[in-house]
Amino acid sequence: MNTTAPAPAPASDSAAARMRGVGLDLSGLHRSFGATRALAGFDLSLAPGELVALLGPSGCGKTTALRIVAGFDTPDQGTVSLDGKDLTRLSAAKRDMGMVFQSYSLFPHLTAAQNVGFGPRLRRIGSAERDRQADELLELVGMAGMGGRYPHQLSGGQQQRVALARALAVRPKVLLLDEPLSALDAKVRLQLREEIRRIQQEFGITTLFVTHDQEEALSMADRVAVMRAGSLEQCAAPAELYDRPATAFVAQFVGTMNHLSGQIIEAGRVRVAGRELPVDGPCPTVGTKVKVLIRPESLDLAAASAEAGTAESAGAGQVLMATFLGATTRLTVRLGDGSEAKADLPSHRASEFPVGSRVDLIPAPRPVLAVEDADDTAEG
Amino acid sequence: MARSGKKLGAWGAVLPLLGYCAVALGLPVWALIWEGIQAPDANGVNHFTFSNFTTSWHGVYLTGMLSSLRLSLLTAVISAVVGLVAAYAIAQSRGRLLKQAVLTASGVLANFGGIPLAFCFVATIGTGGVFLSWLNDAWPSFQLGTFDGLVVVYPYFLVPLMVLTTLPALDGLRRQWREAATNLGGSAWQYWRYVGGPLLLPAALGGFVLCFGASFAAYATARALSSGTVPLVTTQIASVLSGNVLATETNLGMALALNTIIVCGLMMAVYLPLRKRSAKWLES
Repeated sequence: MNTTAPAPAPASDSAAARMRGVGLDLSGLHRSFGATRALAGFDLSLAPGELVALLGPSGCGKTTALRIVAGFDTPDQGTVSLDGKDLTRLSAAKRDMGMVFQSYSLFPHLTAAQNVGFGPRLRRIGSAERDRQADELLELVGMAGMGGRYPHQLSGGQQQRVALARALAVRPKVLLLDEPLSALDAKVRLQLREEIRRIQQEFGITTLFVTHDQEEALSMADRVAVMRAGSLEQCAAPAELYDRPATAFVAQFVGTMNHLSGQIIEAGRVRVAGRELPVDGPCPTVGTKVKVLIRPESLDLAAASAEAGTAESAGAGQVLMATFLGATTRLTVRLGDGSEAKADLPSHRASEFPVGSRVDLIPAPRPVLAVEDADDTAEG
Repeated sequence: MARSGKKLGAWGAVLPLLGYCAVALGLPVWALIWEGIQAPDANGVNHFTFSNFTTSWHGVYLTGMLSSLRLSLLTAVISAVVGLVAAYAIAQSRGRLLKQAVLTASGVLANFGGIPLAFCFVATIGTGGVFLSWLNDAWPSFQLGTFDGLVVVYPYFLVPLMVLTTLPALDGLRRQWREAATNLGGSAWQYWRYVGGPLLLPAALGGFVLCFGASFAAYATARALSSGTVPLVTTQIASVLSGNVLATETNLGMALALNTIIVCGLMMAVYLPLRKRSAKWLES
């Protein structure tokens, strides 16, 4: 596991006056459902005002962790504390946390304004003040003038905006977002994630955000916590997570990753595609056959150097497919050993390598992750 | 053009149903109205009159109407409360098999009125049965063939009807609504007071109204158990229609039947908007 210093989101003066984030600590959380272990010693700390995304494959325990923080579930072991105060056994109703659910969960018999005013109503705030707050929050989430509409009269994106306003109306110490964008179409999702981030920063509210969409996590969060099988693999800022994945799982899960065959030639150095590169992190023993993990944007191409009929270099291959992505084009290359590699090139350069052309892979001269080749180990 | 064609097509599809309704419901109702506003004179020639309706709201017939309303109200309240609690218990159950079994049984039992139900009671409980003996110890005046007896018997088909009506609504209550209410600081009581209760109310009221209507219109059970000694509109209709003392009583029976249809129609007029509202909330 690798964690880096959190980067709290800036809060504007006015927003900070209204709401201020607090630190949230999850320590040694264990939770099993029968024989299924959902959490196995999960630790995570959120700094005040920070937005952390819990990212991981289905069944990795991210929703279980969120529900334990919300108080909807109780851990078998471990604690949840807010600013040092243990909340583990405190009822969900008393935790001062606002939650936005995946499927909106607005109360269908109440208007948008009444939904937003529901929490304040339970807190016995007068109707005039409730209405004022609801109007203010609905305006904040871009729903001004729609307070009188019922949920069935709103689109999915609009309902989720109201759900966000409702969660904020109780001035929560922590905001919990349970895949809030997954039910929305791509365009609305993009728009709403920017707005959620803007509002979170404006309020300076500590936020835990569950998602299985890595693009969402990387674009919104101060830090991304990658989970696997109930525990934390790595928690780091998006750029660090992408550039310096701590484990092979993180490297494979976040972004696209090539697995090129290589061999450790000396301590801390690996030979791959005919080049020698420094190894980042733990390095297998000299002579070990490894898989070298390289991002598509860290691969360049050159026209094949070998003449027809002569021996090809280790990084030689043939362009199989070109996928236009706008500014860049992803070229899929079949290598001599039958494996495939993906290289992202500026589109104007990619046109130099039409499908079928012979090319040489050129890895960028920067440290790479090298993991023991499982196939080779099995054979050996 | 294409749109109006589609509309015509849609109407065409329901034409057989409309035809059936016209024959099976429209014509009998028309016959009731037509017969109800006529009475034969001394020569046996029918003439127009409102006297049948006037009579149907006086004397023993008014007593019958009031007794029917009282029985319906009482049994509908009992069945609504018991049925709602039962439906809630079933909705909370995690066993899908149990839920399906109860729903199927309710579907059958909701139609288990009439002679079969009366026979079951007489056969299993009867005048000398254990249950009745035990009941008579606690309630000496209790007899199956009385008003009180009908109050005990009617819920046997009304409770399943209430379960059938409210279970979909209870199933429609999402766990996330409860969690959202809790997350916003609400207690279990506040959830039911502000969320669960209002969401269930249309379905519960609808179920109550249906039970009321079903109880009001029930005939065979009351007839079989009480032999007409409990004055109810339905048994009175049967009496006047099968009676051979006065020919004019046929027209009075039609007027009484029309009164029953009006009461049941009112119940449906209340039930349908409630059902629509409940569906809009819980199925959205």
